Formats: sequence, structure tokens, C-alpha cells
Amino acid sequence: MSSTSQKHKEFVAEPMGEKPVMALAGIGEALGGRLESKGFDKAYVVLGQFLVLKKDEELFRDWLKDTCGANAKQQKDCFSCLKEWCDSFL
Amino acid sequence: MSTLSSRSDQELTSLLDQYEIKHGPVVESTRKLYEKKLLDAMSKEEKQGKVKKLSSDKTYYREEETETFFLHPAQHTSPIHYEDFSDGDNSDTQTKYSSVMGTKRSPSKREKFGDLSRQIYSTEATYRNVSQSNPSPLPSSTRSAQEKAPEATRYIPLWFQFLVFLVFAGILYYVFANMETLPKKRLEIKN
Repeated sequence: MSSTSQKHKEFVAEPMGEKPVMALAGIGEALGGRLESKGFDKAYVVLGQFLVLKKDEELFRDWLKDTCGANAKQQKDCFSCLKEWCDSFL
Repeated sequence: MSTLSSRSDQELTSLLDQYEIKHGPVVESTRKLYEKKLLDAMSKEEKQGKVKKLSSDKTYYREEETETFFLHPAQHTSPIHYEDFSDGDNSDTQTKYSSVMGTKRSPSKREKFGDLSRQIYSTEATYRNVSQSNPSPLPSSTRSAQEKAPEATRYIPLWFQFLVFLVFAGILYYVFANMETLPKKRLEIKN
């Protein structure tokens, strides 16, 4: 198995546009629902938060954990997904 | 102490820099996260302060215990020794107590360490007890002052902790008491 999931590969392959937050790697239905309830209804809003946290891994992972209760793996997947997307498109 | 949520963004930014926490801009969406980080950093600092205070307290106790054992048998042989000690360091009336305990040597040494540690801690932020920075001649007074400082910042009241402990002890006793009666019951059943 490759180290990144199919979801990750799909997300980083193109600009995110209006993709929903559940398109992010590591963010499933449960986490996605919690994020949406807090106002993070699109992937680009989470991207905004990621950028405001200066793309710092620890800060972003802590924020994700506090906001939607993501576990370590989910945090890591989401962070690496966004980071790679930024490396390509930002 | 004002709550972090009442502070402005600028104040939070400066606090984050003070605690050397890596951070981005303090905006609405990041505020809660930074407040939490600051609270963690503050409580960690307090705990570190407490641990170091307690360890220095422990050395005071140890010194007292060892020295009393030495000095009690020696009391009848060399009473003059006490007077030498008492003249040396302190001029207060309480020297009588401390001379009996024989802790004269220890405070002078410990005070040097205490002063060093105080100097280190006095540069840090706000929750230090001010009385620590004042040179205090007796170990008992510093201990009481230091004990007061952690007490003032307890989150769970002391009486509640004692109550929980007693309830737990009571539960354990109840379980233990029941265990004792069981064998008797078994014997009765067999007969």
C-alpha cells in the first residue's frame, strides 16, 4: 500500500475550488459534520485556517483536534494533504 | 489575574511571545487555540515552580532531621556549640528554637541555593509569590510562604480533596470488611 490514500491523491491533483470539507484526506463524515457545524463548510475555509496558522504542523493539528476531535492519524492525513496541495498550487 | 478571554489580541500575541509559543496572527478562528496553549504553558510553569519549591523544602526537612539526631546526644557534651551557631547567622528571638533544632548550618547553605533559584524564578512571569524574593532568615517562614503560594492557586479546594480521599478510604474499608465476613458465611453454609 502507498503511504498516501486515494483521497489524498485526488485532492492534491487539482485546485480545490468548491470541494466540500469531506474531500480532505483524514476528514470523514463525522469529522466533516463537526467542522461544518463550526462554519468550516468548504475545504478552502479549512485551507484558510491552515494558512492563518502559518502552515505549522503542530498548531494545525492541535486546532483540528480541538475543533472536530480528530485523532492523530486523521490530523496527520489532513495536514499532509493540505501541505502538499499548498506546495503545488499556492 | 484577568482571564485570557478578556485580553485583547495584541496582549495575547505578546503573551505568546513571552512563553515562546510558535504562533500565527491572533484572529477569531485561532483565538481559542492560543488561549488554550497559554493556559497549558502557564500551568506547566506553575507546576515546575511547585516541584522545585517542594524539592528545596524537602532538603530543609532532611537537614533538620539529620541534624537533630546528631545534636541531641551531643547536647550534654557541648552546649556552647549552639551559641556559636546562633550568634553567627541570625539575630532574631527565634534563634532559640533553631538552635535547639541545630539547623544553623543548613539555612546558610540552602539560602545560597534558594537565592540562586529565586533569582532564576524572579525573572519569569507573574504568578511567583513575592515573598520568595525577600531574604528570609528562617527555613520555617520560607516554607510557610511557599506553601501558601501553591495553596492560593489551587483549582480544586482542599476540603474537597480530603473528602474524596475519605470517601475512597471508606469504600476500601467497606470492601475489606465484607471480605472478612465471607469465610465465616461459607463455614456456616457447609455446616
